[in-house]
Amino acid sequence: MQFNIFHRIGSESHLSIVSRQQELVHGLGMNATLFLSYRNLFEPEVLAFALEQSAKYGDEIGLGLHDLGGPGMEDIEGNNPAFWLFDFATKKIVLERIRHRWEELMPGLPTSAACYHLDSSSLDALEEFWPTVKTAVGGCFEEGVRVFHGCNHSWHLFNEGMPWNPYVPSRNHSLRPAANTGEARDIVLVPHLMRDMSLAYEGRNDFWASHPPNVARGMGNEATFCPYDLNLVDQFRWQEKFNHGYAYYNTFVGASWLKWGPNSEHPPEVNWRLYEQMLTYLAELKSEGKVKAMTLSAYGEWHRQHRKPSSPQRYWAKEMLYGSGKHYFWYQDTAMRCLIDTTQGGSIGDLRPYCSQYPVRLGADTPHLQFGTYPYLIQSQHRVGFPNHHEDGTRTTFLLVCGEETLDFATKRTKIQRLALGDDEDQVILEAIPFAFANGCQGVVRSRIVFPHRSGRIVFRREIELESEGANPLFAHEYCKLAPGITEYPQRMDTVAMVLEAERKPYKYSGLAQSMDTTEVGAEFPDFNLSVALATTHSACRGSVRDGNLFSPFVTLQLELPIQSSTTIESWLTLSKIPE
Amino acid sequence: MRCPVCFSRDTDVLLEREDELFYCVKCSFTGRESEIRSMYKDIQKKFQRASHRIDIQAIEEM
Repeated sequence: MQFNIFHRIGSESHLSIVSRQQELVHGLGMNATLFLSYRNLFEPEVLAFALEQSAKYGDEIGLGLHDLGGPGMEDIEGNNPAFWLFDFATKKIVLERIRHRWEELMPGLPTSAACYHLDSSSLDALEEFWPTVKTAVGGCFEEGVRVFHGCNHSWHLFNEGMPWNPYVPSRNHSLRPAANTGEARDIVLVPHLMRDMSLAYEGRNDFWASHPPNVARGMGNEATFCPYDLNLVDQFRWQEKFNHGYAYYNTFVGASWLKWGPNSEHPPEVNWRLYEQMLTYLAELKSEGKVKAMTLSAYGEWHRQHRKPSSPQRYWAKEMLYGSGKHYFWYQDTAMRCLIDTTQGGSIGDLRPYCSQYPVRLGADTPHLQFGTYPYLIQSQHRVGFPNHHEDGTRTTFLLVCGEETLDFATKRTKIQRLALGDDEDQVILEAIPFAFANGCQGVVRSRIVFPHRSGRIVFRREIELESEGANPLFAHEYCKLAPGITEYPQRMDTVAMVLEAERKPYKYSGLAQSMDTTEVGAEFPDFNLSVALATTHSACRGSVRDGNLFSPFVTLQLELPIQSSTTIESWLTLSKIPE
Repeated sequence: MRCPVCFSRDTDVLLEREDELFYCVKCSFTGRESEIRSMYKDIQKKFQRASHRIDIQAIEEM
């Protein structure tokens, strides 16, 4: 596993804490990347310290792009700590001023930078004023709606939908991996912390990450006892098994987390001890040859040499803190990012259609303002998912219908039995789910979810084994409920079209279904450049489309297939870009 | 100290203090430090595996 340690000095008053962090890292035989902010460039003691660390230990000095205050910034900074939220002209002025000061004081320009989020216009400005920066901390995986709520609705960082591993971003959306070299930027972005891939979906992912003081903030520790910090390291290491030996980890604990602060009810020594324990474990792994620790730029170089931008990424997550043992599977390639929720029978819980190549730039000079998230098509946490209260929302599921009774397989808990990973496709093979109707019809469903690489297609293969038949005919339904979105609130849907046998049906908020004998149904979301189709090869199929109403504003696509005996049925959801 | 009621909803809200009594400006919670720490312990009960070391072998078996 490749590993980066990041430090930032923040203010001069934190220097003693950062100095202790650096001593810890060096004592463990590792290096850090130390990010300097603009203000640090006016603090001689800080600069001398950073230069000494670089000269003596080989630590990297990078450009820190959060908290931009300092002499000469008063006229533009406006108490906005978030670089990515300035308009494009101001971004360029900020970077020009920092560069001017940096060149006066430092021996050379840095090759790395760090920010909580770097949108497309931030990367454009960086390319212009800091062309030496080739690797950056560029986003916070799945930070958005939940962290906004959790920080009392004050943390305006909307950064959902990015890869969890390092990647080369596309030019028009920095959270989307480039689909080809033509649209690839000349930079490697790494996530700001590695997040718990179960709890990042279910809740506040700032708590559950490679940041021991944040785990303490979430109260996942018992004073200085916190095996979870090491468990998370190991779960990321385990992903080597599914990614040709590759896994990546980083940690970024700012000095303010290691002193008395508002986010912990423990004395600072508790967070110190937790931080020390995690780094000591990683140092042990390093000495055993299981972890390679390096600076950020060194990682960037390694990434460029060893990682193909087109390689699919897989993460088999198992929930470890609550003890539920839930399995999730994350798949990401250049066409999509998709989450399979096995506790809901293998439903899709989150789907980001990268193939639509939706463009976003942030700042007051853009229509997107602060919403940097790559749009979802399904997000079952934000947009209802399984029907617990009123109607269901964005999700997929498999239904069996026999007479008046319907079995929704999202109510059936299962787990991943195994993964079959190939050069052209990945298969998620779920444990068999038994079913029984009141009329005596019963059997077992074995599902495989197949991801043909870079195709924008998700295939649902259902092997239905009937053990006994009931009095009524049995029907299988492949079911998708969709709505594009950025946050938890609905978008306008009146530009949406539903497609039934190649005929486009306008979205009228009618809530009424239309159906016919057809093997393909679909929907178009022109505001998001996205077209979706649900199809099967089985000819005896009835397809339906349904718009929603304002109380349930979704699109439902459904295929109904008669099941007369044990059989395997296959259908697929295809995402594609609507040409501009 | 953070409000244990708001924190149980995953929201961080710092408590205000008047003598020995803490109070929340976002919800109606009031309490003393010992009561608040006791409520933190209750919140932590949901993390049933927080004290378990789950190494790679244990992950394989989950």
